[in-house]
Amino acid sequence: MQIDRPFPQIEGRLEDARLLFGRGRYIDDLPVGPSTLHAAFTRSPYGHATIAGINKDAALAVDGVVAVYTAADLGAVLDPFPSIVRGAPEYRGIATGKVRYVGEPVAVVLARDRYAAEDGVSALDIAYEALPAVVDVDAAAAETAPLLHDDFGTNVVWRNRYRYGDPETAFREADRIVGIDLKFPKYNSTPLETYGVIAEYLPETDGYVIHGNFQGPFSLMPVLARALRVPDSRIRMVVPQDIGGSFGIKAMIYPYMGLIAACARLAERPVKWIEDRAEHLLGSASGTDRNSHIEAAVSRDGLVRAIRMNIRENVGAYLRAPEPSCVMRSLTTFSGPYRIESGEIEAACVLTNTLPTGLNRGYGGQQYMFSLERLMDAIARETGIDRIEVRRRNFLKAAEFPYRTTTGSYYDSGDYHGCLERALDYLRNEGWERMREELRASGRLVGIGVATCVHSAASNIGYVTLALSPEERAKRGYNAKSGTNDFAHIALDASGRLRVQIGTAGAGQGHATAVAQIVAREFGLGVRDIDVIDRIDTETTPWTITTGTYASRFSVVVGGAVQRAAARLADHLRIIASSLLDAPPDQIDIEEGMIRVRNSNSSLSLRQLAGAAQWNRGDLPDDVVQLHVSESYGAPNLRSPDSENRVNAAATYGFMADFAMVEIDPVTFVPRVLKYIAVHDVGTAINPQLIRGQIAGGIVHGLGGALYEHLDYDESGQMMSASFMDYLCPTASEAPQMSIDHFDAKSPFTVLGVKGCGENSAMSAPAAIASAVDDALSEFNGSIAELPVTPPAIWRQVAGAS
Amino acid sequence: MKPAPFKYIEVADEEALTSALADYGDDARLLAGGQSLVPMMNFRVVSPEVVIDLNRVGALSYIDCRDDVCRIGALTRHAMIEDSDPLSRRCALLGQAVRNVAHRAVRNRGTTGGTLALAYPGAEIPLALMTLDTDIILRSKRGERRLGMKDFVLGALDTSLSGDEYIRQVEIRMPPPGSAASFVETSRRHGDFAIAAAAVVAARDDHGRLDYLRAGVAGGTGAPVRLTALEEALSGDDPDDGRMADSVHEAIAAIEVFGDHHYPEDFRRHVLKGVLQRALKDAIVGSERRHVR
Repeated sequence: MQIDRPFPQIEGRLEDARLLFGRGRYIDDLPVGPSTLHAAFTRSPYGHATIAGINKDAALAVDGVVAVYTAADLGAVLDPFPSIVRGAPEYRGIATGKVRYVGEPVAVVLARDRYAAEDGVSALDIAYEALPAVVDVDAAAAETAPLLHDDFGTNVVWRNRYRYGDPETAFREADRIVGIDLKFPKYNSTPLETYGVIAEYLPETDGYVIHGNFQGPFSLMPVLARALRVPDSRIRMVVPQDIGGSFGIKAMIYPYMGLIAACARLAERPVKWIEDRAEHLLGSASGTDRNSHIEAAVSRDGLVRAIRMNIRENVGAYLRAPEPSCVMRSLTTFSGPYRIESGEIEAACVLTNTLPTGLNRGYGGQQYMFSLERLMDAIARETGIDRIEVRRRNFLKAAEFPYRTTTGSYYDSGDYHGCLERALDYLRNEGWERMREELRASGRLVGIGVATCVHSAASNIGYVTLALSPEERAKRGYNAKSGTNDFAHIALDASGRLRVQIGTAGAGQGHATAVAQIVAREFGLGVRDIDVIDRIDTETTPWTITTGTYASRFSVVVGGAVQRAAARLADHLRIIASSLLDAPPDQIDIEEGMIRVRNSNSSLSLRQLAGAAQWNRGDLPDDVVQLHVSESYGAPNLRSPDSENRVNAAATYGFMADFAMVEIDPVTFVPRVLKYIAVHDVGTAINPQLIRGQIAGGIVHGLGGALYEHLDYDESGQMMSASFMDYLCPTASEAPQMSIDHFDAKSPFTVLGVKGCGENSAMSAPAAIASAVDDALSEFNGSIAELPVTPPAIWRQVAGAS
Repeated sequence: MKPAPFKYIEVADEEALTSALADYGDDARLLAGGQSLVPMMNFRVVSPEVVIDLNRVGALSYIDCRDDVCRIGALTRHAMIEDSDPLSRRCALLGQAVRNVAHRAVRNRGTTGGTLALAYPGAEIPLALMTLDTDIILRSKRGERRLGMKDFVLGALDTSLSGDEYIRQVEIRMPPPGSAASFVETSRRHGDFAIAAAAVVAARDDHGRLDYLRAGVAGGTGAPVRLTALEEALSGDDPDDGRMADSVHEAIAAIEVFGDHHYPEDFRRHVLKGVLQRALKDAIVGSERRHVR
């Protein structure tokens, strides 16, 4: 039965009271027993060196130190983590023979407390012989570069070529070819809470209990299980009730879960490790930095017929799962919101003496959107067509959806012109252009930038297998991969109260609130009438390979499962009520806690119905159904890649129209983002307030990559941003004034019409801000090709022009 | 990020502080606001054997402005300076400088003595004190001594403090009435240490001529630098833009400036000139207005 009413809204969120009163329960809040040991890592001070010797004696002599383990010890119970790319160099999470990046774990010290463990780290005697390091992706790809993994013979760990449509003809017939070279920086997510793991080995079952602030994807659990040499189900993975921010980085905790679990097994005691901030910057994970060339075959009227791109992706010292997925968004949404029917992408992943990479909010999206949107600006510059007009001309039209792109992505819905127009309304109403002229007249460097991008959401796990060639995927014994799905459980207790159970590993997004809204709408109840348990304990919570909070999948996939479970429970209640009220189920309405027979006075409360069903079960007909329902939901239209490397990479495709206004100090060249407009198609909005929070956070995350955050290394491989003094996260003072709105081009395919919204401007803001910097520097004729845009970089550009 | 083991001593008055320092000397570090020392200990950049906590020595926390001198106790929190009416009236430069120190939460803890003892290059309060006529009063069991700022701060993270000494008081000779101050800082984010900062105070005599000019810069320099040659060159008649630009150029060319991975030397010099010129203009124009009124 279809319920058609708006989602009920509340002030704030169900989670707020708990979080604001300090009653959140994070990994470091979990109680541990007195036998628990505390771990600290000895990390490499070198970017590249041979480990000449490790002498544990002094460390073991430190008061409180119980054990010191190196790769040689841990190897007895821990295998390398399997890679997506067959034959890639071994990745064990701890250095073996050589160190390959500053911060790489070399040994683990276990002690009675963290202080003693760090004293042990200070005392541990390790001899290194330094080797030449390489940190730049192009330098590392050169034949003469120092090799990170000697046996592998090259630092180019993976390469592949993808071709769609007919790029050769498009380029041959192009009126103009516009090409640019770009560099996208290495940065990360900087959650308030760092990694944390508490692990215990259970010899009686040969299994592990691991508590960790792991966000998923749970496809990494089999990777972990293989390394720990146990079946998947022998790892009881418990995610604490609260995670203090995840943003992708908390997927990459998995090697540490393996290391700490292996320590627990060797020490025969539970082991706890809470990563500190210095470790997080040096040794957690980051997004990739990318050098790329992108060029377009452009017609006289500014239409892009084809794109060619060459990507050199820096994956750090090891290629670890889920890499090389970082490059896949550049294929699967390479045409963005535009009608570009041909493309050729050459991609290589290169090993360097830097921190290995992984998910960072947008996972490959920000890198690619920076390329495509820089390219659109370059096309506008070279053709003389206005930046916005170029985009409009290339947009897909609202009537064309659903639209199958040349790479196989199935864009569900959209109205790009309409959404952009809404954003332009904000720009006009706020007087941006007038403000720019006034500020310029007073001698200031001010510019406005634009980015229009597609936000794919609820990813198809099958896109990961684009890393393999179609021939490899066609081999006998190869197991194809596709889809994304999840579970929800809902129950009515004997007092008539609804309780929903989900397992999202959320990190403060407000999942419980949104779930309560979905259920409350179905039953015509208030949001606070619904209890939501959002917790993952793999021993008791249903989960799938695709479980977790990533790829903006929550509202699409978990929301879909919750909606289905709620609707099915409502159907059950109608059947029960039909027996109690003696009316056909389709004549029974559920609202405001009452079960009513339509057009009659006959009714009973939810409480009465629940009571009868629980306490008077014997009097009800046998076929009457239960008061609890579990549903799973798999997002639609997601198949494994075909033999032409085409795949629908996500269940749904939103759209983002972003504008940024940047001011650059004309003397010191310090840039600031003054204002930002983000109008995003997120499909049906369950909770506009939560969406607003997501987008505001995304803008600031993208601002970090555009102007501030950079995990940079000097030539010897030393990290030059290893503390918050040099790794500059934008704070509230740097956040621009934001105008945020959502635009509803409801998805025809998802259960609720929702699309994802979690990655949003974290992907588009670097492009929009770079565009604004160009505009601010228009008198100097430059174009930003590298992020972050720092004062010295602007100074060089301006000095070069004048 | 846990410190190495250390002995913790809390002192309640200056006598106890003096004896503790005499006993432990070079092995000890003083804990005041802890905004730098504690992170440095957690990073194990420093691992003192003894930490002497002087937060309970209330007698070291005061602002006392009388006649032409303002005395600030070493344990005075930055927030007290920020909120002090007499200081903002009589010594506006310090008030402007302190607003550039990190964020309010840090200013609630950080102290005058702490920032001086650390002598971090690019720190704001040492620059303001170097620019003004400031003496630092140091004390130990051996007695008390007074050093001018220039003799106190020797370079980046380097001061004249002996192991058994502590900073007791800062004495600032106030700029003349009618003076105008300007503190201009460049940092990428609000609250960071300066990439470059300039401090200028200007005042005029009865005839409207610039007879008091103090200028200093920091950021990329080891210690903050007082620019006495520039002060002399620009005193007297108001400089035109050309004379000012020339003096600024010469002044920055004459000082030692260090580049680093993030900010090369030539960029630092460029920005130092920019902030200095801005601060000079602000202060000179400001002092003119005061005279006219």
